[in-house]
Amino acid sequence: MSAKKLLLLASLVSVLAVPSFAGLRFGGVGIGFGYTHFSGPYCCYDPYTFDAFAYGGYYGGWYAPWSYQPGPNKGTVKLKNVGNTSEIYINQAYAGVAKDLKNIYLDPGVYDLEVRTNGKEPAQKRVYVLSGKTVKLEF
Amino acid sequence: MHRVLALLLAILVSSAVAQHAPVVKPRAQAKDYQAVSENANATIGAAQLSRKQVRKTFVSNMRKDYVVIEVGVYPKNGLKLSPSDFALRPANSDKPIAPADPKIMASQISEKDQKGTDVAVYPYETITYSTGGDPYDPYYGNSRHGVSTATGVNVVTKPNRRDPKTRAADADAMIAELTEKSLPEGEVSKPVGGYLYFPVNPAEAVFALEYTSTDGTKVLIPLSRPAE
Repeated sequence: MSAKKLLLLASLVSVLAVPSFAGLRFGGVGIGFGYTHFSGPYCCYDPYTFDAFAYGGYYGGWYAPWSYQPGPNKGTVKLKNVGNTSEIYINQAYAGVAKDLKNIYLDPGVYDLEVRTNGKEPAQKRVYVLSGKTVKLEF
Repeated sequence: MHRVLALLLAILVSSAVAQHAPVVKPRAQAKDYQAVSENANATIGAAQLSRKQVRKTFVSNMRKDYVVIEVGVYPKNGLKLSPSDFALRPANSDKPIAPADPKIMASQISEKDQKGTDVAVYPYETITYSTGGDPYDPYYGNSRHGVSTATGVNVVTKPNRRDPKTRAADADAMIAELTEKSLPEGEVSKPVGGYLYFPVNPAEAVFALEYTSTDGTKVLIPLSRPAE
């Protein structure tokens, strides 16, 4: 049996061995690309932990209740039926335009979301966010 | 003096405007609900939510622990309303079930949310191009050249238990959701709507909603089991 098949089989067995009360979810298929080049005597990376997926996003020094980054203690709000150029306000503060905020990651809590679209009445919705949960909001 | 009065009036008006509009609005008419009944004071419409509707309406995970009923009250004159005026009567029992308190519900839901394990499966495919080997790599050393690929599956298991701060924030959000979507309490003169939560498994029986008005008269609203 090839190493690839063995790895897949081991993964399948580990999934089946999970207790029945455990929630199971499947993440998306990830495809990565890495490039390495060594020309000198000094090692420039750790060969044991190299991973094409290991490069995380940028975490800025400012804080807002919403972010572009998911996190284990955040909930997700997905906006549906919102035009790309619509402006999104969270608790009356401007959060951005809809094309950049298809998924909004928020700390657990209660928020007032407002969508302002040119030529339309502003639409408001109250949203309850829990960690690890996704709320779909249709406007 | 007039200025002070005007200022006070402005503060009162702005605070009234700042209050939230009701989260759950009553349907246009009582007959828009699954079941309707009336007494001398009000017409009451009610509909039991299916499990799918509960999942879609609430972020709080009620599982199979609660019967959720959407209620619309259409007062004929002013009336004093409270969720405790309502009770759920299972067809197979004489014992009425009182509505659950959102704070206690949130605490119980939060407790159950902490149990179990979350398992995430991430298949991956990695393509690496190397122009030279790493002299400090004991496994691959200088022999690693050209394109190499790796495929596999990452299986990540983690307990659902959250840190105390997140857990408290979750519970607060759940209390807010369950309270704000609940049937309002107090004097009402216009139609109002909201949900009532009863701590019983929806699959256990067919239910009827009982409303007791302030003068003690009872109205029974028979509910049919919702389609899943």
